[in-house]
Amino acid sequence: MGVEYKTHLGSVIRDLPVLPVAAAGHLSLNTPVGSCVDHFGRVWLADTSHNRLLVMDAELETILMVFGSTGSGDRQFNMPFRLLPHPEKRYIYVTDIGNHRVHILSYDENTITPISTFGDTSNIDLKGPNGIVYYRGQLCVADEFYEGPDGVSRLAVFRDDGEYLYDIHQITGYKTPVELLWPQGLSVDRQGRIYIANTGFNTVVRCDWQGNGVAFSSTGKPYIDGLELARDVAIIQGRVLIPGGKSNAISVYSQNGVSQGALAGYFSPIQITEFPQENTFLVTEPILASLQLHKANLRRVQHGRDIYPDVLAQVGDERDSKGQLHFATSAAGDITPERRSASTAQSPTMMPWFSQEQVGHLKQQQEKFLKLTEIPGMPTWLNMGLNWQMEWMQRWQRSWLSLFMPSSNSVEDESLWVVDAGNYQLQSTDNLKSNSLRSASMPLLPGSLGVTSLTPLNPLPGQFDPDIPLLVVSNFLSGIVTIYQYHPFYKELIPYTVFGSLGHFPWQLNKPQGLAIDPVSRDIFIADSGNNRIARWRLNRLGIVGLVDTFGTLGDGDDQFHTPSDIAVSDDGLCYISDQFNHRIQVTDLQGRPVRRFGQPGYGTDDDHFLLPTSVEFEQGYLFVSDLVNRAVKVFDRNDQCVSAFAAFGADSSKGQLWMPYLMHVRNRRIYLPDCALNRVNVYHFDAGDHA
Amino acid sequence: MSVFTRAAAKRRKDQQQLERQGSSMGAVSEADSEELLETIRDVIRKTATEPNVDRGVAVEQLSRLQEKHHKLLAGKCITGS
Repeated sequence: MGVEYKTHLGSVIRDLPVLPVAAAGHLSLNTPVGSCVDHFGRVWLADTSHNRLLVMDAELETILMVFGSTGSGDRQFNMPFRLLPHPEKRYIYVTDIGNHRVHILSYDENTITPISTFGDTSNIDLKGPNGIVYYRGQLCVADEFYEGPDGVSRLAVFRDDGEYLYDIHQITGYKTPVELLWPQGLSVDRQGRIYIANTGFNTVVRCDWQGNGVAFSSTGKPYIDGLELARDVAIIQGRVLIPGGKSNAISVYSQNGVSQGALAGYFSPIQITEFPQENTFLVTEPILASLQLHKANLRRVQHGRDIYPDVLAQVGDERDSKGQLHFATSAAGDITPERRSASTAQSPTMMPWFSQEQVGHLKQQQEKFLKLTEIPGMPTWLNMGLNWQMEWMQRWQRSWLSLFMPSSNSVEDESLWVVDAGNYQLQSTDNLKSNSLRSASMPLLPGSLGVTSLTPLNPLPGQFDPDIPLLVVSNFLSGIVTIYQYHPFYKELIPYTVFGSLGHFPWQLNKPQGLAIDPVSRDIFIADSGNNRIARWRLNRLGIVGLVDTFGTLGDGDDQFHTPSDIAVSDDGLCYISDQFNHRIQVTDLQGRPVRRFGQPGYGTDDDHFLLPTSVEFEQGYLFVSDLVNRAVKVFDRNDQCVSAFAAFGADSSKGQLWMPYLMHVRNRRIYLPDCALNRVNVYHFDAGDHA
Repeated sequence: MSVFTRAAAKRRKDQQQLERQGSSMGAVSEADSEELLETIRDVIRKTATEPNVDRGVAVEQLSRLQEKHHKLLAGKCITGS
């Protein structure tokens, strides 16, 4: 019995021409996080999921140097995260979070040389080095996943040569000690005070180098509160900048803790780095796979006013090459039920639509199209502008041809759909080759997130081919759920029906995520995460969709949830809900009545300790749970006993490691787990030991 | 009680407060969402219930729907492009 990593889907495009080379058209980034500016004024970027550093000119036009590969050697990384230049020496510190260490690299105009690493020895044993700051010969490192008493994280202080000095486990000097949980970004002001993005509590904490809290005068507290998210902090132009403090924005506070307003118009920014030109700063947008240089006068951000910075430059090509994923959020299979039972390689229901002549013509068109899309540097939007409809029609036809007329190397039951959210599309494959994904739909609405397939019990009015399941897609941004069907005459995926809309009323949704279909009734269950409830909808035999019920409210009681992110429905009529921020799995009946719950908050890779369990699937008597912070896939039997697990944190594709796993799909004990930060779908197999 | 439980309690409290302030929604407003819903319904009427509609017209409908949603978000996001 065990869970074994098999392979991954999603092309990796990290090769670069001979350097130096223009960044535009040559640089595909994979969830970049850290940035800094060196003594020559050049920009360094941690291309985190590619396990490398890039050095560019100050204009962000030319790639000058690249350093690093995947591994644990002295020139290797496993998720290089934050970068810090030494103020006097030509050193760059790199937190190498997956290898639990910090690099010291020296550099000159042409070369980068590893000096040493620190933090991974047994006496220090960093668990998740993230943010790093320097002041007067000392370094402070945020150890995000350190597990101290009661689970608290820590700051670790070193000399600038990497010699360990001491830990800070709590921030003292306030009424009660301020605990650290999952501290990420750090910053330091001119007085040497440390600012900590204390992500677990959604606060920004301020302290000195002994861990004494330094209160903000406006509140008397050593932390800024009321943030939507706190994963980084930067002190720039005398202001405290908090990316994500407010959704789609960078919150701006004065140093006495008063909210001034925000820099608006961002997607999900993480690190801000001051740039050596007036009012300019670098911003990494990991999900957009982009580094941008912005200009804004922060003194204009006051009295609650929001301003939009000017974008001076940016790097990072579209992640839309063949087989490449951009923020993969969910996967669905079981889309060709007829094919599964057929021994031949083609579907009797589909083939009559295509004569051999048509097939030949389509293949010629596809080849032409694929050559067009392979032109380096031609972004998706330009292709779309040139011939928008033709592009998507051909992509769609190619996909359906490949699914229903499998290639000679395709294997039964491997057809899969993946929501490629950053490219606003579904991708599909019929085999497990890493570069086999292909665009397969008209553009989805931006914000599309969860997907599942639905085979109604009876053919529906207006359903063009009942043998082909419908696809149900949730939209996180608009609160809308769309049910698509394949239209054989248009040869397009078209909306069959739609429901939801953003809001709190029972018929509305707020940040819907995972979806599940009751295998008996075929009712649609939706994890309505922003409303902290589950919504149950039904597509009746007339093809009319209607709300059945909702259940759950915000809380940690028996019938309550805190950001339920996914749901699975078992064949015996139980709902398994990943109650994400309560760190537990809730089990209810189909009406939402609590049956039981299991799991307890905490670190653990092969037990019922959960930290932000994000996705659940039920198949063949087993419950599969993707446990985000533990970076684990855990398998439970019907008695809620963990019978097997796979856990690995990092960005090494050869080892099945995980960073931000999202909504999972399980079919025939094969686990398809999209990782929206690594931009791939990891495939594992669960062997139950019964030769199933 | 562990730090995880204490942090979860604080986040719940924060969420309640944000909901009271009405700031827990994302980039799309309720009115935007309603409008999108109606637009999709309109596309369904035109693509699914009218059997004689030209394919090009149907694709155009779907394209406009996506563009509309995209523009709605693009107006609120800066991406440099």
